[in-house]
Amino acid sequence: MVTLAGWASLGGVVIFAALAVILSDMLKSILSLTIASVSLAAYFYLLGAPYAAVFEAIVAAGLITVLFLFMVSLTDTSVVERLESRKATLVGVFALAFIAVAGFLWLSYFGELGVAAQSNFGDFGEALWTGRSIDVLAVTILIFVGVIGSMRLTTAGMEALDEEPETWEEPSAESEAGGSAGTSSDDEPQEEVA
Amino acid sequence: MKGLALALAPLGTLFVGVLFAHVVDEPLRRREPSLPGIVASLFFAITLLFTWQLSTRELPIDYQLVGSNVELVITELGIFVAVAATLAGLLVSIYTIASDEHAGGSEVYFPLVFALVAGVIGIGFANDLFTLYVFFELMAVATYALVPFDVGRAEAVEAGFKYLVMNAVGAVLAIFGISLIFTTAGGTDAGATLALGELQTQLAGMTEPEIYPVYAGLLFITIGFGVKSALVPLHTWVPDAYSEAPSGISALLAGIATPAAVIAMIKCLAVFPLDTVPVGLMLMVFAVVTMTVGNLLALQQSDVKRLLAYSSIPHIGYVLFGFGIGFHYGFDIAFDGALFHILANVFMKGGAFLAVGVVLYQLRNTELAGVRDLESLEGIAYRMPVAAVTLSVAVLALAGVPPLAGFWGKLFIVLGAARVSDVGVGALLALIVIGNSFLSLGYYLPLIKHMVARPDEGGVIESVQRAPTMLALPLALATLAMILLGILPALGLEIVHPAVNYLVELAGTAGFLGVMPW
Repeated sequence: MVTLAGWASLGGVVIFAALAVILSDMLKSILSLTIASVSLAAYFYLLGAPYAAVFEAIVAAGLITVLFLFMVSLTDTSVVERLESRKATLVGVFALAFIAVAGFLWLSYFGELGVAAQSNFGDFGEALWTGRSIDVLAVTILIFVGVIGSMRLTTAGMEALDEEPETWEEPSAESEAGGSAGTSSDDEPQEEVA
Repeated sequence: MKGLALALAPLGTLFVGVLFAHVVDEPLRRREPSLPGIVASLFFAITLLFTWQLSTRELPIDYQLVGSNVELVITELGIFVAVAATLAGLLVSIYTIASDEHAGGSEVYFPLVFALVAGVIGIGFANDLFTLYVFFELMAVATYALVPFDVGRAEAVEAGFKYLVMNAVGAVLAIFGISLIFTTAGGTDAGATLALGELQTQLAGMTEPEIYPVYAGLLFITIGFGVKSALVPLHTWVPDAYSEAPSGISALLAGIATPAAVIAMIKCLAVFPLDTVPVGLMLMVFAVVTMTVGNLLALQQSDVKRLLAYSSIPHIGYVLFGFGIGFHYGFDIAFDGALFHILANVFMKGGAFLAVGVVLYQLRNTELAGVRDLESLEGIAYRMPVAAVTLSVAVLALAGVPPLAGFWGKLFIVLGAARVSDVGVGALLALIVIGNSFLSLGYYLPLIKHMVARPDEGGVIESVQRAPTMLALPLALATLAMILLGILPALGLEIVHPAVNYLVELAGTAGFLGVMPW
């Protein structure tokens, strides 16, 4: 029996998954996909599969988002510039959301909110905190690493790349008989021998 | 928290290091540019100290951060992985004290290096397939940013892109394989678990029709982790990533990150019922292809970093071959060989890439800036003897020349192969490793020859400055380690053999030792 919360989370999955496909703005698309994954995690949990929910939340909403951010930051510098300009807001929202969710789950598991006995939130909290607390700690570090890594693949360095790729000067090209055709800096510095 | 809190100390130190290095980098650099490297070295030294402390306790140590489920189990294998990873991190961080490869981004470089090493240690300590996967991803995500660290160069970004795409697909396949195993082992049942021992017990009782998804899981896990392990034909990211990454990062990738992916794969594969699933045979087939193709590809290289990159592939083959023989025939000496080779690899590959890094660093302001082809580096031994000696010792050790570190790992693997009761098969298996070692001399010896050739009179090499002492220090340490491990292999076996005993115990409980069904 799917409850109202179940329909709401299922609706969230469909709407945000569709938005992830439709939106042309890469950053918004990634964030939509993340929200779709979080909604799916909620749906799993409501269907009585807390472990699947935890895996979905950690892998899809955490790891996959980081991978997409990396990929986009390697290809589209404008996204990262925008990320950079909103860094404080993003980090603040992320930190507040993380603290809120973690705090709620922690309290629900340990019963201070009094919901552990009556609701399934206790199961999710238990799955997350007693079963996977090391994973949560590692994923927190991983997301931090992902964000600072994405920031690195941008800005000054990528601007230089957009203007004129800086490659090695190849003095050996001068001594190579056939090197005259390939002297521009755009050329591959290494021959793919294999 | 339950269990010995010291168990979390190595990982905790590096997690703190990730945040600390990011926050304090700028003030440290303003005071003294080399300080971030010194602080990173201190963090690795502390991690090593904690690991050593752990090794003196009675193992295994179970540790729970919250609640009652066992989350980290410190075994002898975990200690081995932690020691190898921390030594690699320490070597590279000493190198960064004087080098400038992190310039313009050290507030990101050091956190990523800490995260990489923490990921490797987590792989060793994980007692659950999902935890193992999370730490594997932590290591991988750190390298996704480290490979294209020099973002101003198109080649680095291209290499990073290729590396990211291939490894992200591999990671998805690996988690899909783990999910299949979880589901087959009763994922929807109450009390379902991904803990290694319990999963192994659940899978061991399975019969023919219900075990089919396990075969699919085996395939996905092997391919998934195989991409990061650089198994042929999943190796194509290796030459680009290793050669375009900063040299310190190449040293970490080749020295510990790629072998750690093999360890992750082996820990996953050990849960399969080895008397019905031919894990060892599959590893041996992959190993033979990987070492042979890797050597043949390396033979064609003239760029020193690409040569070292390609030559990393056969070494993964040797390690896999050792594990394959160990799993298939139950010979613990082959496990000894595989793990000893991983330990030696930290210094051999680490030392080789760092030596090349020092040479390139000294040439950065000359006409030969960025040039890496062997002929342009002719005579470098006369101007940079420490780098040349390190590189020479490293490549000789990699080729398996006695009495250097690389000799013993290969010898143990060959001895394992030679123990096979069918003399013909045993001789063939041993000859494959020996033949490949000789093949590797075909590209290692020319490298030494070029380094000791007379430099052109009045050429750039003749006028190049000698490497500063702080840059030579990590090279000297790596060289010393390669020689010491060669002369006194007992030093390495002291941490290798307990780890092998754990592996034998783990594999033995799956009922394969002494069974030899194939």
